[in-house]
Amino acid sequence: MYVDKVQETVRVFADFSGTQVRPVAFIRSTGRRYDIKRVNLVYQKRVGDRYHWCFACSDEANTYVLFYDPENLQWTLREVQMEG
Amino acid sequence: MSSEFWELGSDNRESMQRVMLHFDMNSYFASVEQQANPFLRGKPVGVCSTMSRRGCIIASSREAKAFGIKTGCRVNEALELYPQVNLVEVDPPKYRSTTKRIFSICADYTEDIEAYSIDEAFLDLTGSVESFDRALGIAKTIQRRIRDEVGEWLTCSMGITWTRWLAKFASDTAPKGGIVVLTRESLFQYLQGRDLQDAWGIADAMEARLNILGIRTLDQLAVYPVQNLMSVMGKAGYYLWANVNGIELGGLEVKRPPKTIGHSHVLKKRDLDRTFHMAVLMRLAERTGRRLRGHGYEAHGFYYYVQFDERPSCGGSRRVHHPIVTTNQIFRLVWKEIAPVVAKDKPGMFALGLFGLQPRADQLSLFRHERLSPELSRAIDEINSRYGEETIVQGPLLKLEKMHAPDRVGFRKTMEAEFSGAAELQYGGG
Repeated sequence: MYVDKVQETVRVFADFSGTQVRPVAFIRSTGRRYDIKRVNLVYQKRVGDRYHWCFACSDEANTYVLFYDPENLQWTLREVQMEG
Repeated sequence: MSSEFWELGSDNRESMQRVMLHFDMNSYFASVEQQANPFLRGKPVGVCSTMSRRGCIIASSREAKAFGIKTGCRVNEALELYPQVNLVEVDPPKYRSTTKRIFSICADYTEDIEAYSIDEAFLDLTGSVESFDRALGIAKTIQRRIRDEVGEWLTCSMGITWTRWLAKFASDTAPKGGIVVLTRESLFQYLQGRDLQDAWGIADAMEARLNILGIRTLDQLAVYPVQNLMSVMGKAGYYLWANVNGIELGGLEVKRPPKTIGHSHVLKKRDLDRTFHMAVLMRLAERTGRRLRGHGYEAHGFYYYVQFDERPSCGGSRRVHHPIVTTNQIFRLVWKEIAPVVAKDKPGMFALGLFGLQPRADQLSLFRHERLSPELSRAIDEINSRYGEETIVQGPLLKLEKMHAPDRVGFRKTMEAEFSGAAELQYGGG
């Protein structure tokens, strides 16, 4: 397992359904689109007096951790874990 | 009128069937990591305090346990036992947040919750349900909701009975992901032939003392004459006997203020670098000071401990006349004690802490002038609380990387999980 810690602003397609939100896909700065197959775990991280929402997601091959800052509505890719 | 009301209420509660539920998440940190990363599921996973070879495995998955990799094992030992083990560095906010979601589910069934640890809690269902059967229904619902709402890989063992101690005993002895219901009728049968160490609070030393009395199993302890037990072990003997026989001694514990506050860190490099030692100690002092001030306390004593690889460890404690409030005070007091010893030998671990905690009096001193006043500390705390930890830092911390003395997960009373307060906007998996 290879873990790559990154800090990259990404564009995210999100599904807002009722009171829930779920990232569906994201586009990295290279322009490549990654479709999310599953959101495996949702948790929060405190940053000062705010909380960032963290989505541990996966596609067929890799897992990704996306952070969402509700204050500035910004999504950041924080981690990519590749198998093998 | 009011006294009649309370008496009536009290009688009613006493006549009710007491129902206590305890749950314990299975291989919690490792399961959360496997939940977050599905490619780790079904594989041996060890969650490490630090990724160095001297780091400690603080949780291992079921698969890792099968290879003998247990909690407390060193990283290098784990790699010797199974070189392909997947090692993951501890991520405290992930576990705290997951715990909060699990406890929020529990809070839908009772207000009386004692968070015993980051991965276990007691629920007093007395008054909410009238029988163990109904409690069993709630337990199954909680297990299902944890799977559906938090993560399908997260399982917990549960115990349902009528006292706090028996509930934990039932949960500890339940199969992984299972539920044990202990009734007054089934208790003795359940205790029969069970090892003494299956019981909460009995370890090697206590077992040896009981063995001397000819007690080798829990059912033997339950029927042992309590007077004899007390004559040998005093009050502890009665507590043991009463717990095993289902006599409630305390019920849920209310949250008590801490008696000590402290932090420790195993160093990632071993050398005589004075600047590095000062920085690590300052980070530990800052974390300790933040918690002290967060509770609104001042301390009247401190302790320290330094471990070395090549010589015996050293430590000590001192009481002080002038109350300790600021990070600088903590640092200076501890550094004064340990600076001479770490100048000669390479330290491996630092620990420091405060005791004699009292609510802050803010008594002005006639004779001393603090270099960093409590007011300035308070202002720095406010900035760091608002913009993030270490937005403003003490000088020695400027060049210290985050990997040294990072955030740690609190296992017992240090954890600060809330039970309710779901966010307005929920974020869901699926």
